[in-house]
Amino acid sequence: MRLRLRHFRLALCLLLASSLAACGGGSSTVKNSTTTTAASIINGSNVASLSVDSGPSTLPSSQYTVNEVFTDVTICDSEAADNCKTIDHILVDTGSTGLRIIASAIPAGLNLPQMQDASNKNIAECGMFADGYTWGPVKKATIKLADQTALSVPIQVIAEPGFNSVPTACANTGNPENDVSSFGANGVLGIGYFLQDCGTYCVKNIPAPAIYYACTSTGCNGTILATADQLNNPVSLFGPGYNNGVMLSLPGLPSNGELDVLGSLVLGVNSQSNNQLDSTQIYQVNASTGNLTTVYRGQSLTGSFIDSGSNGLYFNDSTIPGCTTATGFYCPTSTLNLSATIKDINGTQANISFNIANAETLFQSGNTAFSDLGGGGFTNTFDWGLPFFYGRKVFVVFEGQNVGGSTGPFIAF
Amino acid sequence: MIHRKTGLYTSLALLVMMLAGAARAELGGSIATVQADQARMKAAVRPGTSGPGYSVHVMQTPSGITVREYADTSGNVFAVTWQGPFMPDLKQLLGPYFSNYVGAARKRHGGLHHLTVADKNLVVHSQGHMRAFSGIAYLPAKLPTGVKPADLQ
Repeated sequence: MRLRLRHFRLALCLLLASSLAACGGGSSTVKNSTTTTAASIINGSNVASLSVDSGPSTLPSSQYTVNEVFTDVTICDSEAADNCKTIDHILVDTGSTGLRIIASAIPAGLNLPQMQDASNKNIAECGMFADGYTWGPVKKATIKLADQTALSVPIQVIAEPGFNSVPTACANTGNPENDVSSFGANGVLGIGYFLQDCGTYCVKNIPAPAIYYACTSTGCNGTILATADQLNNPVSLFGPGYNNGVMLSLPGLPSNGELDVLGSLVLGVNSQSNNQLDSTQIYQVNASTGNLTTVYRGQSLTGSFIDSGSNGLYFNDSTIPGCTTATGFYCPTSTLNLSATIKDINGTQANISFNIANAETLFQSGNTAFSDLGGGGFTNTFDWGLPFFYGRKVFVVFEGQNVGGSTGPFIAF
Repeated sequence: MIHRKTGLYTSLALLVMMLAGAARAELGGSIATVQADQARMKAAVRPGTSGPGYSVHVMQTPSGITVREYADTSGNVFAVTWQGPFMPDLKQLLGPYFSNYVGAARKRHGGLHHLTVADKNLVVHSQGHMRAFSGIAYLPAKLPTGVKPADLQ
């Protein structure tokens, strides 16, 4: 249905000889650079391409994605990097750590080594996300992104045959997201502030519910795991100058969104001519949580965060009507011009203006990229998702990295 | 030594009492069953601030997850909230509503760090990123008079 709509839209645009911009941007087959898109494209060998579009080709058209930003990632089954496959539609996520790929999205021909503990038990993981969990073994892959390579990195292969039985404790954390349609992507490239998804806590403790498991033929039990064996931030394992952080660049958008957009993921911060902070303001986040504060309507929301893996601006405001069919999103009768103040842990502030449009109207456009999409949330949190990233260059510097006179974790924009 | 042993016996006795008490403590259940949650999550009880028409029972798990269970004056749990570095056992917290939550969650995908499930019987906001998750689940029809979801932390 969606594909037909997209083809119809494209045909209509060509028929009317309108500009592609008037048709809401390019399609997945005819990529178009609007003025704003061109400004968001950064050149350099340390740059991977970003796209916001309707998602993987295997996704049912009724479940097309909105505001999910993707890149291609190449994985190889040996350090020689002589047997590699490239996987498209990997979600670029500054709110998680580690590369996770749905097994069915990995082309045949790779034989990724299984991670084992000292007693030869296979290591598997319950990947925890707010909207559900991923289950599957931890394997080692050599990861290539732009011109950088990281050797033998622990990654999660989601829904790998042979790991069909999800531990009860993992299943009890929420919604299973073990296929492309429920995950909304072929995988996720977690490049957030933290070097590992769990970190030092899991070296000596097994959280309840557990994250890492040691598996035998009879089942899986929670296990401790050294940080080197946990899912690591792949970018942090790239070469010097490319491993201290990332910068995301996406174009600004018109009020009704764009059919799809292109942008850039730049590796490294303050190391090349294309990733300089210059006068960009730095905002330190809480080193344990990655959170900072947002002041909205006089309320200080201390559990706020900025991340590329949320598809909207999510915050609690009972004065904005919710949608009837697009559950969870806001549907004001006319677009709201709002503002909030982001405050870092040292009190450095940024006043942010943003719009919230009627989500159902936005979705009816058939577009996939919206800067004015929002919805409700739990008290104490303002989730600055992908709409925040449009029209900005956002730097994410990893924990412990010293950049521009400040030590990560911090975000700069 | 003796003190530790006494403590152990007390803990064991408490655990037995809790296990015997009720099968589940959960959304829609009785506050008496909160003890089952404490036992299952091996949680420490923290003081909570109650409001008009409800009481709050605060627990902290050894993994650092803070769970608050809100009960009305009849002792029925109408809301639970969670906050911590890991996701909690939502099946335990949501009880019979867990299947509604998972069923509804599958319908639409909205990124990895936010999920809202809302119908006339159940509202859930689950949000956050790795190292910092939080959320709320409540029964809109069971909110005590005058209590707004925004009142629940």
